[in-house]
Amino acid sequence: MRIKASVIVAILTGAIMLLGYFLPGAFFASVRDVMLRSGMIIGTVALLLGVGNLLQVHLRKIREQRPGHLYSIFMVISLFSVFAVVVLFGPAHPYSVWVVSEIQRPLEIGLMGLLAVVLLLAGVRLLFRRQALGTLVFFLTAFLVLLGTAPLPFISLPFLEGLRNWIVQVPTVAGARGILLGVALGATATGLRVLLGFDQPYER
Amino acid sequence: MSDVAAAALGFFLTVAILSYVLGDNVLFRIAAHLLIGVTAGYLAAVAWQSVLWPQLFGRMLNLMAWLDPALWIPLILVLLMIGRSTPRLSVLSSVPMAFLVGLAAAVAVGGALTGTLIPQVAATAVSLSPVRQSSGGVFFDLEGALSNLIILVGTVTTLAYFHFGARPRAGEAPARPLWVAPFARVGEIFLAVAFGALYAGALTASLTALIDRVVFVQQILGRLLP
Amino acid sequence: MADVRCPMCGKPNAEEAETCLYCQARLKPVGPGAEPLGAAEPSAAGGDTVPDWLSRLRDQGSPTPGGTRELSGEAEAPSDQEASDWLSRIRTRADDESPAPSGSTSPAEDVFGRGKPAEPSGPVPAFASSAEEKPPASAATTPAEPASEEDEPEWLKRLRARRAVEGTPGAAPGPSFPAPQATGEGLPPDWMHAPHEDLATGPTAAPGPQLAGGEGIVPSWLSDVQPPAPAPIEPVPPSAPAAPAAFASEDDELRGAYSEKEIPDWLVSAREEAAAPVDVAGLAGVPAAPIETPPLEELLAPGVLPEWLTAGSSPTPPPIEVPGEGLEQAVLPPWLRAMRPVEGPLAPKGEPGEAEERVESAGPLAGLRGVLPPKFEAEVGRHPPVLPSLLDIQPAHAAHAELLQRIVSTPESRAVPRARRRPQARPWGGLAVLVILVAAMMVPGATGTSVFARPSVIAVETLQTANLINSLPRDRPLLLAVDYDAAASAELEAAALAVLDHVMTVGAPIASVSTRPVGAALAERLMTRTRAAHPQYQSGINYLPLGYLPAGPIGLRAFAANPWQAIFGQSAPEGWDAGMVAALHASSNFSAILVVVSDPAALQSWIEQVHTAVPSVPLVAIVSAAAEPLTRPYYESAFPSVQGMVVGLAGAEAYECLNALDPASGRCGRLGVADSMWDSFGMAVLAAVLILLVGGLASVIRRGVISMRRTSHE
Repeated sequence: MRIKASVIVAILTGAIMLLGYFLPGAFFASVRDVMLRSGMIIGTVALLLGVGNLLQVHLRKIREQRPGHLYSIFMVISLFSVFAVVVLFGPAHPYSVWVVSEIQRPLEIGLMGLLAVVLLLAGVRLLFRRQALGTLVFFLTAFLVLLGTAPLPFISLPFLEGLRNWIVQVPTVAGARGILLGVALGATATGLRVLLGFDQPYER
Repeated sequence: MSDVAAAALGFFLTVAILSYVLGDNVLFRIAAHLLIGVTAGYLAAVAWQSVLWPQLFGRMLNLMAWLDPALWIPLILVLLMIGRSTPRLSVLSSVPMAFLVGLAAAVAVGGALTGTLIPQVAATAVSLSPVRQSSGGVFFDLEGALSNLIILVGTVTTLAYFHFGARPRAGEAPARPLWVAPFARVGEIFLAVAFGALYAGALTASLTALIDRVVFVQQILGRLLP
Repeated sequence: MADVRCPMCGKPNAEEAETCLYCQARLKPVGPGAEPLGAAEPSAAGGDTVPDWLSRLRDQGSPTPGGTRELSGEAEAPSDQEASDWLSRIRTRADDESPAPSGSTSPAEDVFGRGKPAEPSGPVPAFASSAEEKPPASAATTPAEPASEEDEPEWLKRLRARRAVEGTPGAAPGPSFPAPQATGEGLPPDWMHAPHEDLATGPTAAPGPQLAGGEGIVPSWLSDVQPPAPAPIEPVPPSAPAAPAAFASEDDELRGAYSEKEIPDWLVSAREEAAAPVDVAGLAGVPAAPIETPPLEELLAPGVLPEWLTAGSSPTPPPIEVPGEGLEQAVLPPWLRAMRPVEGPLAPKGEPGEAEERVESAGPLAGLRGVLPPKFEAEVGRHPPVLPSLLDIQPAHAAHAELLQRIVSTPESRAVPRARRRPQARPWGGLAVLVILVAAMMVPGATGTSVFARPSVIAVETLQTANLINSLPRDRPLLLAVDYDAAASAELEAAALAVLDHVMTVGAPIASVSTRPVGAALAERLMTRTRAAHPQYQSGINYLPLGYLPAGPIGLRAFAANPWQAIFGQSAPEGWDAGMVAALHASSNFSAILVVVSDPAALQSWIEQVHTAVPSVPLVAIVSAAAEPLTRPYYESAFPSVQGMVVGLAGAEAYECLNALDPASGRCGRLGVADSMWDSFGMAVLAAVLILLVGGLASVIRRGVISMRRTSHE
């Protein structure tokens, strides 16, 4: 069986990096630093390649005048404009901050606001579709947390706030900790599969 | 003047995005494409300005910097990544991604072990005794002990719900072992509580976002309508 | 006149003899136009060559018992009884389903496929392999007409073609691996059982030989994650005894759980619906051709939707489950998945795994590869990837598995006929909800009233944050991590402004950094707004913007190891040992780390990569309310990773109250950003609770009406 160079690279990189977590020493530290800095650069290049790919597809769409190419024109113009502003002035310059504050922020917050509508509809849908013990517990918790989080008109109910705090501090923590441990176990297993060469997601 | 333009732009974009509740429409599409363009443009510029130029291409101009392996190693890997379309280099094109994946896997495993698994297990393994000692002497903390017990039971049973080892049985559906099933049922309740809290939190966060936009629109309308 | 040699025992028989004089084996084919088995020539390429033992199986269509005896004779099947049992069951079933005359039975090739023995059975999920077996089994009863091949489904043709290519002479079936288990899901409890649930698991093959190591050598948890990759690599001798057993086992379930007769009408129709996903394009990562506006979920998914909701609205990808892999995928309970809209904007439209690699071809996301590798690989908290490239799975199998998964995961959508769905329900419902919410939010601003009480209980974690900031030194900078998206800025800016106001009042220097590209701008926004009250904070003097840290956890680990190198890409020059930049020589030089996050995974990364490296530096967090449940376990501990928290708008309001608390009256003083939103927040939450209550009430009434109708009908 021929072992591919990429598999060797992945295993070696992972092994050296992982050893660096547990074994102190100047050698591991220096090698680890080089690898981490290299990883940061490669990750950034991958981001840029993604943006380039996006641009390429939309430019082709515009060139071939496919349906929706007018939207692509919007996209391409905004992409180049923002790129130029940020490259020329820097990411923290007032012009760049203006772009984020006045364009990106309203759009993203608007989408986030739409999520409230979606969540409420989903909640009502859940009530209509399933009525079981899990649903009951789910909504009871949600109601209590909501009422304990938000203020009430004219009155203040410390009991409700205390109950809310207890729910998020004890049973919620128990469930969330189980989820976190499960996720961490899964991440560890997945990482080990890559590090042992069983999984080769880079070979595609 | 710029304030007026910014307010008008913000008003238009807010209305365009929220118009999606009426269904997919031209305004929403324009807003969505604008968002993608702005995000991608900003991302590309920051990637160039903050990382690639100062850490890679800008340093190439300094001859002494070539002694640093953190310059030429990523440079080689980047060239391999870009040269994917070149037949001669295509054999090695997966090496940069293999490097990145191996690195990320090791970082994830190391982080999960030291930052989540060990501390969270330790946080669960707490004393269940109501008798506590402090500088003031011995006292009873029944509430604390009960909370610790609930957290312990909830954590274990939630893990039992997401068990990883159901074995297939000939002719039957895979099932948890008999001794795990009751734990899983209890864990399901804790899971419902956690998801209920998550739902409430997500709803709260999104309502806050909607308030931001509604208050903004209200202010604009307040200026326009005396 | 030459004698005909019996293909079974090799002894000569008369040419006109129908069966062997010695062993009773059939000497002539039963199908019209087919050549005698003994005269069959292996193909030159060898790809289609059938091993001896399998070629004898071809005669199983014959009702003579000799066929089964021959099967057990040379192929060294586990036992004669076992082999004959499963073959006879196929025959019985074939007879039951189609009472065609025996003379019309097609040649045995149609029953077992030519390349079957060479194909490793390991990587194919049990239900998929059962599906693979089933059509040929039923085809055994159909006349061998030329038209029958044309009429067969596309996936079966591809299967045949592939087998023809991959078949290897002399190779026996590879080791059989345990079948996938219930698509890797955590099993739903009884109260959420759907009647069709058993179908999800599909028939399970008997566990075959273990992989290298076996039990006892490798711990069970590790052996669970071993992939079946070695199966096709290591050839198994033709006499491997487990293979026929596996076939027999699969056949048992083929007859049982996956019997065509037992499939109800709705399942048949659902299978027809699944014809579209059979298209290989989607599975092979080829982008879909139609150009259309991206659905809302694509725009919402990356940053806006919380992970738990995304997970709930997109089914896990079970069709490509690795057989024998004990690692199960964690899945939300079905009752929670019922929140998923049937045809709403969040309805899943593609395989998650596919989306990760697919290059978008339509909409504003066009051109982006699902998720960029560094972020994808570095993120913690995702399901273990199921890699299609490792599995040699036919698209048709995947489509069948996907069909099963779809049936299991969306019982409601299956139960509701399409004709009864009202496509207009969602837009109008959404509009009504939006109008109610907006109206509620506008009331306080329009009326100028303030009737909502300020928080009467200030959470312990908020007080601890305030205490920690009170104790910040003035000679070492606080590291401010602006790790949220613009979408969460409404909520998090309110909290961050309150805390930063406190920090600046204390006079601690600040350095800001972000793992989000937009973080630098958001940090500048925060500082600009706070400087109005604290003009002494100037960039380079007591505020140091460090900018963007790429590659998520990798960048954070690099920052923890050496902040200067991570930010500037080179070692620190000599002489830079004074002022704020001196802190960049080591991450332990920071007085504290204040992380502002909207995503729990981001805080997790900070804890796992930075806090574990410098545990002496306290870490406090400002988190979105949506992230609170998954971040709180890091705080609620005897040795907490997070030493203080401010949660959402309520936490911001409490912190503002602390900042401006009048000691004499005990009341909150100065108004802040959070306070300006407080009344609208109260109204909005009340409206949301009312909407949910009305919905719950309506559902109860609806169920009551339905049960009354049912009772009256009965």
